[in-house]
Amino acid sequence: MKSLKTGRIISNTIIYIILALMSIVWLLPIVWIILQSFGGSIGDKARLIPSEFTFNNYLYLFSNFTGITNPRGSNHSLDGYFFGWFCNTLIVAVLSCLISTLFVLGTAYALSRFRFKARTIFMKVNLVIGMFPGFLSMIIMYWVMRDIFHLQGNYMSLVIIYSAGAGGGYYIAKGFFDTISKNIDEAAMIDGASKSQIFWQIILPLAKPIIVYTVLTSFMGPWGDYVTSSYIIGLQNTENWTVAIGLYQFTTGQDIAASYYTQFAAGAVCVGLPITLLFFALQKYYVSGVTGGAVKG
Amino acid sequence: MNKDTKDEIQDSNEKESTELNGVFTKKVHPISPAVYFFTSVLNAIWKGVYWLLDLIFSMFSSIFHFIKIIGVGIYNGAIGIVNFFKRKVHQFKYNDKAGRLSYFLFGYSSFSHKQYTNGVLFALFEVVYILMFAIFGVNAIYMLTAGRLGLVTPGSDPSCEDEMFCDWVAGDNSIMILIYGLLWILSIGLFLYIWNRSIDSGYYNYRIDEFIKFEEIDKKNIEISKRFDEEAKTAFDEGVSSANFLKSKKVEIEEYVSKIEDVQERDYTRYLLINNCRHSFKHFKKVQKQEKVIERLKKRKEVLVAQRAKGYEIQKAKYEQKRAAYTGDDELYLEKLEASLEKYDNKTMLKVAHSDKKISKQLHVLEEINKRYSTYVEMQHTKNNDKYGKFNDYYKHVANLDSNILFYTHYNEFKERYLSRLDKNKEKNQENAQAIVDLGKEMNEKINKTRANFDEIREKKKALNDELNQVKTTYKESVNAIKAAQEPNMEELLLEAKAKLVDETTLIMRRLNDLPTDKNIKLLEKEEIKESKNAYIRDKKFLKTNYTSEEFAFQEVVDMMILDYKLEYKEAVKFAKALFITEDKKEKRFLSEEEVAQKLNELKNQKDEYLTAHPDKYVGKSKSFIETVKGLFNDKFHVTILFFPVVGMLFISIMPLLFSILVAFTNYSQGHIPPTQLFTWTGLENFFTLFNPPENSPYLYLPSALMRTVQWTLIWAIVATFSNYILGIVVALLINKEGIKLKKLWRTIFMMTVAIPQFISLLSIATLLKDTGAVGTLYVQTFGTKLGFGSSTTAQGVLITKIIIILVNIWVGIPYTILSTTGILLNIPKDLYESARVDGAGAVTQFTKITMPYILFVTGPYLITQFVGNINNFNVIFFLTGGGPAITGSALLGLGQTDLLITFLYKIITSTNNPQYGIASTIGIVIFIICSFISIVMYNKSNSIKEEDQFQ
Repeated sequence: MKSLKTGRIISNTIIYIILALMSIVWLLPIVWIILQSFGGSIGDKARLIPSEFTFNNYLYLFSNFTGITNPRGSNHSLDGYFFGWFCNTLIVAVLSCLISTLFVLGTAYALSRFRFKARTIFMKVNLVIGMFPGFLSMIIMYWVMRDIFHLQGNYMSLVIIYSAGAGGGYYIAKGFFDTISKNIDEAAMIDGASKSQIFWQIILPLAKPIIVYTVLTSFMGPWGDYVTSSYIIGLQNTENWTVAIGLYQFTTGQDIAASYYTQFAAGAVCVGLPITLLFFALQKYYVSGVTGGAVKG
Repeated sequence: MNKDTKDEIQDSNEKESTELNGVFTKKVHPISPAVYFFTSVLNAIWKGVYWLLDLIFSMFSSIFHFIKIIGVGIYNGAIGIVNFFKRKVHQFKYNDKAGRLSYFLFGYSSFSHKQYTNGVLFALFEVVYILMFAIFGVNAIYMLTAGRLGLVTPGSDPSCEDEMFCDWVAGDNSIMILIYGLLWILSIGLFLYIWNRSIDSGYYNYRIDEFIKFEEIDKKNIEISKRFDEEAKTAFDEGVSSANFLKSKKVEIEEYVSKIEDVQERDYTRYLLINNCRHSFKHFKKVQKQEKVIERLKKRKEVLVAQRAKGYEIQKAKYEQKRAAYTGDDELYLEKLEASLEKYDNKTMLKVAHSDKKISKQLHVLEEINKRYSTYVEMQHTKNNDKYGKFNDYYKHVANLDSNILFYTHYNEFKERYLSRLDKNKEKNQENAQAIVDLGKEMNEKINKTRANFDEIREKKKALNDELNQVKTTYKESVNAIKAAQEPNMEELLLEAKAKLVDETTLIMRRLNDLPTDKNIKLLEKEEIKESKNAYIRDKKFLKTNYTSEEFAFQEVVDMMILDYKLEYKEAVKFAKALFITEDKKEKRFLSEEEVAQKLNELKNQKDEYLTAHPDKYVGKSKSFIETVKGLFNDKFHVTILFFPVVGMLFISIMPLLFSILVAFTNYSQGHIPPTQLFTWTGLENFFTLFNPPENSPYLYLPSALMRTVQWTLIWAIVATFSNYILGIVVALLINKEGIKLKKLWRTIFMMTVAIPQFISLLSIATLLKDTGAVGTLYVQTFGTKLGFGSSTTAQGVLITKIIIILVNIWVGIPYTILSTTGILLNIPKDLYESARVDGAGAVTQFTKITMPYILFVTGPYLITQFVGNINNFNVIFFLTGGGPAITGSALLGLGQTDLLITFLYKIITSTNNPQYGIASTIGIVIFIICSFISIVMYNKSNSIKEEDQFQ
């Protein structure tokens, strides 16, 4: 009995050590970027802990209000834009989150509860579309936004692109709706409720986890997207950028990257903090959404 | 462990393993190691070859399946279109004037039937569409003739005002025509849909007008159609083909029809009867096919039963032989021996039961086929009733009156039934009460039994523990005795005593380990008691005892109405309530006979009045506009709710996709960018550039570079997917292991990479790893050389970069696996692990034999989507290395060493000096083909696995 117990203690200790090491690896880059955001000189990039601490990086980001410009001399064309980008991103993310949540939940409900002629065709076509790289349609979307909607370089065009096709991502929500018993619908129907009343007043209150999950994912998508936004908005329309484009320019743009690293770190904290807090506040629902979707396939 | 006991156990194992496969996972083979090794290698090779062959076969079958689906789709589509126009011709032929005019003037028939809202909407659509066509169509034709669309020659446009846009580069603008053309096709589809609706509404109105006539024709022909059916049955049994039968019948039908004078009636009758013959033949064929299936299944079942009997005999003989040969008293061994026999029995029983289930399922299908079968004329009749009759208020009103009349004519019957059942309730309530008492007793018995069971186990455990202690004390005593005796062979004696102790304790421990732990005993007991209590509560609900006499009688009457008079439930309840009159609030009384007669008279008069008052009775209404709108929030709610998502997908996903496929066949690139520089069709040139470029092409080395990229993409996808998957499961197992604390904290830490946007975490890691970053600097300081992440072009540098990318991907990807597998891990039945532990399986065996198969079974589809997702994993590569290090030598469209197909594609389309949209689209098609091929093959394979499982 004794040896069993000691064996268990040893194995548990080993597991604790492994988990602790992994946690360090997992947290290190994040801690590093937070430390860097307080870094005073550009040379700090090469150190794990900055040589001097300053709050100027954050003040620089909001230079519209604070008046602090790039502390390393030479005013750059990107000065004073960050707050604008932040607002743009917030507007885009909130609007497209609202629209795409409605689209996703509606599509999922319709496919889960109604049996109509085009249902299977719709699902099959959606499956095939999902396998095509989405970038390709970006070329065409650029034309469409420029020539049909006249929204070239405008971040509102991003709202259309992010949310209009969102109905295709109905899988997880449909899996959830499928698990809600149909007896509830029938009971409501006998009581005289119409299908739309059933959806709004009975199914949706029951589907709180999946609503939160859909809202969360469809908010996080636009909030952290670089590829589509950079192609559609274009590098010349600086004031219409989203934070992703701006921060990417901070690290990789020509003759910007060399001196803007700490500002990037501060920006990354500003962008990452709210979404991380939101995520952990709603983590419970996110987990139930992911697991539910995985089991249903 | 003592050597003797070890040998003994091994011996017993050997005996078992030779025959009782599957009971013990640990097998000891009596053959020599060399032969064993050789056979297992052969076995492994055969398995590999089999797997490969299977894969190839499933690939081909998937391709075949795919082609079949497309072929069937095209065929069905063509048939559908032909049938559509046939139906329109038919509807034109048999229609009234208004209906025919609705072909050209939308909504004319609606106007003439006083459905103004529908009519206005139809007409409005037509006017708007024609106006649009007039404006845009004329413009389009002008543009075609002016040379703005189609083939364009170099030179300037004379009508051009802005000089910058006047110099055209030679090209063919037909892709533009296609883009606008597709939009036009969409609009034409919409037009056809509205046209169809307009014609249909006209035709419905016509049918409703002529409803009585059609109904009469239907009724007239039911007799003759039944006779035809019988004849068709005999002909079918004799083996006459349907064509021959139809030929012979057609003559008879023509003869019968020629006596009818009215042209319309003649045509309709002919249509009905010919279709009737076809329909019955189809039905007979269906039945024959189904019967064949059932016969085959039955035969299979017979074979199974015979096999089972034979196999059971053999197993039993073996068991008895072994039971007789065994002289020891190891209870565990004996139990296992018996269990194996039982297991065989159960397994084969299951197979037979499964086959029974299959047969009953097919029998049910046959029943359904037969139940649904009626002559075509009858079917048409009910269809007409549904479609045209029940549409109008007239029909509803008369039907309502009819059912009321039915109720009052049978009033006395219902009343009698009610009275006769009034007293029955006491007995019934008593019965129910008795049943409830019985249930309670049963529950108590069950609970006592489980308690006794678990007490027994506890006692057993206690006894074993006592025994263990006893053994230990005797050991101590004997040791003390030996030490006190101080004999010369003391050490030997001590060893012997110790061996004896080990021997006895292992036997006891083995039995102890077979019993559940104290905690589990408590839990199991609690659970079982709870279960029996729940069952009691559930069953009790069905046996309500406080039904009043009235309630019982009321239910009986409702049942009678539904069963004998075919009323609907709601109607029946309504009528059952109408059995009484409540004058005051308290008193109920039956209707007197006079009152009933009076009511009946009233109703009959009402009906007559209504019938005479509405001579144009079947001039009904289709749904009014308001009803249609209401329907959009009720039965047609899916149309409302899907409208915007589908339109969005059409314009944001599908249309751009079709255009990008078209772009693959053009030379849309730098130097060919509209509006000033048109691009043109180049056929398959882009595909040749990718796979076999001409000698003087600037992309001569593209195929080899592309080949390398495809290779890397596939390697990346495989390694990334499986490393994430397996490591994720391992970490999830570590976190969820019993006894590990702070589970929530660990999970939260790993969740960080999900929460933080990828562009932030990946960009910061990239900076960290670069030669100027902290880790890069640290590397230089310790090793003296540069790490060269994403920049070193040596073979070693590239390899390091690739390995680091995969590690970072693990950093990003593991949390998702942990998330999606934690729940599944907790759901794996604990007994599986316990029985494996008893059989001596270690942690690794448990992982590979239980955990992995279980998770793979549940998350198979997830794995496939992950794989496809990794092929298109843009973020990790793009933010970490941007595709670098660059390929030395020729720089082809900026292609780097770690570029995936998807990042390569991105580079091509965002390149500022040489965007090659045509080639990008071609690569997109290649990606699509790879992804869809892999998914289809994998899905088919997983499906076949599932089917196999069901089959066994």
